[in-house]
Amino acid sequence: MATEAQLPESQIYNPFTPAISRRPPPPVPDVLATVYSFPEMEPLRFTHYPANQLHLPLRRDILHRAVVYEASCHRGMRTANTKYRTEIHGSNRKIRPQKGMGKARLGDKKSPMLRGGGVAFGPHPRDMSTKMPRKIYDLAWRTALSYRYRRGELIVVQKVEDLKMEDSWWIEKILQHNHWGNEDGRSLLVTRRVMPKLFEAMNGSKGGQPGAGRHGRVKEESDIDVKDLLELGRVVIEKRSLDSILKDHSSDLNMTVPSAVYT
Amino acid sequence: MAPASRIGAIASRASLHNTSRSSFICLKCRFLSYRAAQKSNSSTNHLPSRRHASSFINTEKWRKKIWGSENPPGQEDPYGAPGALDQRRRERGVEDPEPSAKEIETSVEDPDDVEEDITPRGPHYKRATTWEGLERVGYRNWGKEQFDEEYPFEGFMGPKLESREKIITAVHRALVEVFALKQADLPLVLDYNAGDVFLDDVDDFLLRLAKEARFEIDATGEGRLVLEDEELQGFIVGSITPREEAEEEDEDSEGNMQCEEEREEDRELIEGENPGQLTKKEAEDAGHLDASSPAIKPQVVKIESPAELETSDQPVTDEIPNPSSIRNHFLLLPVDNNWRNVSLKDQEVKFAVLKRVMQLTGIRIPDPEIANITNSKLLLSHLVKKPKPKKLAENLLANEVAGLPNVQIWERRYTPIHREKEIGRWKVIEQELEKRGLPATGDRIGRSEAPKV
Repeated sequence: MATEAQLPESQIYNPFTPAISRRPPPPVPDVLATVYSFPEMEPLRFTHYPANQLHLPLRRDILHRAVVYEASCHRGMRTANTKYRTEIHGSNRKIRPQKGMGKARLGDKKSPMLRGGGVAFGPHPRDMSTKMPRKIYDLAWRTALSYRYRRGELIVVQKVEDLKMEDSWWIEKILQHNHWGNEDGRSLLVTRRVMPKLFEAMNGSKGGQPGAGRHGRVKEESDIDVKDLLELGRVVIEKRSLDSILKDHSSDLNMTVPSAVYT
Repeated sequence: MAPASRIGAIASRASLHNTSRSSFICLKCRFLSYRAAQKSNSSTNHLPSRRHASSFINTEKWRKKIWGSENPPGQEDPYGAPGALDQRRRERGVEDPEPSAKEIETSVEDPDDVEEDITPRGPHYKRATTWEGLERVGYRNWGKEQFDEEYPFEGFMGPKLESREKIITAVHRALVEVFALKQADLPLVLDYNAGDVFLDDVDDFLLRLAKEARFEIDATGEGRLVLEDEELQGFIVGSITPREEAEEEDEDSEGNMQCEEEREEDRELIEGENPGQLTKKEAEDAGHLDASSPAIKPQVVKIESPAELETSDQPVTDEIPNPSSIRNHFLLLPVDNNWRNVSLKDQEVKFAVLKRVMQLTGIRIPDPEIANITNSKLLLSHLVKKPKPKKLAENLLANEVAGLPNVQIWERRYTPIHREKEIGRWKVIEQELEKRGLPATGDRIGRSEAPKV
């Protein structure tokens, strides 16, 4: 009698074996980015990012949706307000009897048909913000960064140190030397944290100097939007900020792909 | 003189009175009266003005009270007499310029003028009458210029190069340098001293590179630098001075470093009118670097001006003081064109070459294009733009067409007004139109309605 061959592990029925296992996604090509020093703009090294993060095709519709969505979120409450018939100050007494007057039937005097009555469908304060699927919004973020990268307008710097003086002349010098200023389309600097002197030099201070706003803006990483990425001439971003943004906005990237196990 | 005499009379009356007893005269009035009296007596004009409080009030009493002693320290008359600095100057024997009587008489009746004449500024002080040669202060953007001087900013990249030849030589130079470092087993990327970029006498170095540095391409496509001169490699490596070492100029480095004095002597030699030859020791040092281990940094003498040249080939050597102005940049283009096919696929080599090229040319190559650069030809294509196609007008002007007697070339459109001007009728037309109150130039509708002259 032939001995029974042992079945492989995967074929032995085990209720705890998942029916579909997951494998890593197919490899995505990399794109090259140069990391510079700030503010001297000395190339320090090459670094690579996956193409599905920095080399996405341009989807203007997704960018449009994202920009509109952000604008709606930033809009805040619509504050126009009118009083509905229930909110008008007055009694609920029936003004005249239902029948017998030879006139239209009327309830209280707050009806919208009457002068002094409420507004039927008037405006009320409401939240104008809209919603957007997170994955599409994340895709929009990465599409915006890819757009900038493809045009050579994404400059990755190693680390932005705070300036030695908050004089806007100093930051103007730096910007003009690196061709980041007004004549070259203005720049957005993105830093991880608020750097007091740099922020004051660029954005000015209340009651103080006007700042170098005509040459660009500096913003914190947590403060930027898709719209900011698309607005000015270029984006100068710290590497750690870029990595953090890409990580936060990768929900639509499948980290593992389901695959059926055939035995 | 009448006012002066009146004030003089008041002054004399004031001096008679005891200040503590009768009517109060303020310091200003007293000063004016005193000055008026002074002016009337020109003999006392050369004395320093005693208009300070000490001339009217007995400051001695107060000084004694403040210091609490009979002999208070300091000068007897701290306010009236010339200051301590002036006294010391006098002691040293520097002559103070004494304003002449003539100058005072012609001066304006302002206290400021008198102050200038009196205060000594130094032996060579002479008041200017025009603003020629004086320091300008407060003009437009003056503040910014002061700021720029005080806080210069030097980025990594040099000034942007426009000339096609210069860019090509820069790329070739970068390639040669990187491959020289590679073949010497040294780290490919050094802290290039930014000052290296702006040197004018780099032209001789470039000329040497153009003639002697060649590339050989293997079957695999890898490039290899071949130098005609052995010590050239050491020299090339030596000319790239690490930034920190250049600043420190440390004495405690071993082996190959010359001591500071010797280096200074060499520099004087090199920077002089005649381009000195590399001293024997320098050549040795440069040559030694080939044998050095990768661990040792290529620490060298900053050679600002070139090495020994082959004097037979280069008559231009005598014109070293202004090489860039004389030499045509075409001469600096490399002789052999093999360098254009050198492969840049190795990431390290690519990075080093790109970094050096960006520094030399001042042109930043955008990231997405860097990945596509696989050889130096492609690198050049990103740096050097094709010349703009010439306009037809330029072409015509350059040809004999312009010279033909029956051909005219105009910058602008040839209009009827041009025609009329040529004939000579335009003036008359304009006058007539003006007489009738009609516009001389305008659109066709207006002109067609105008009466024909």
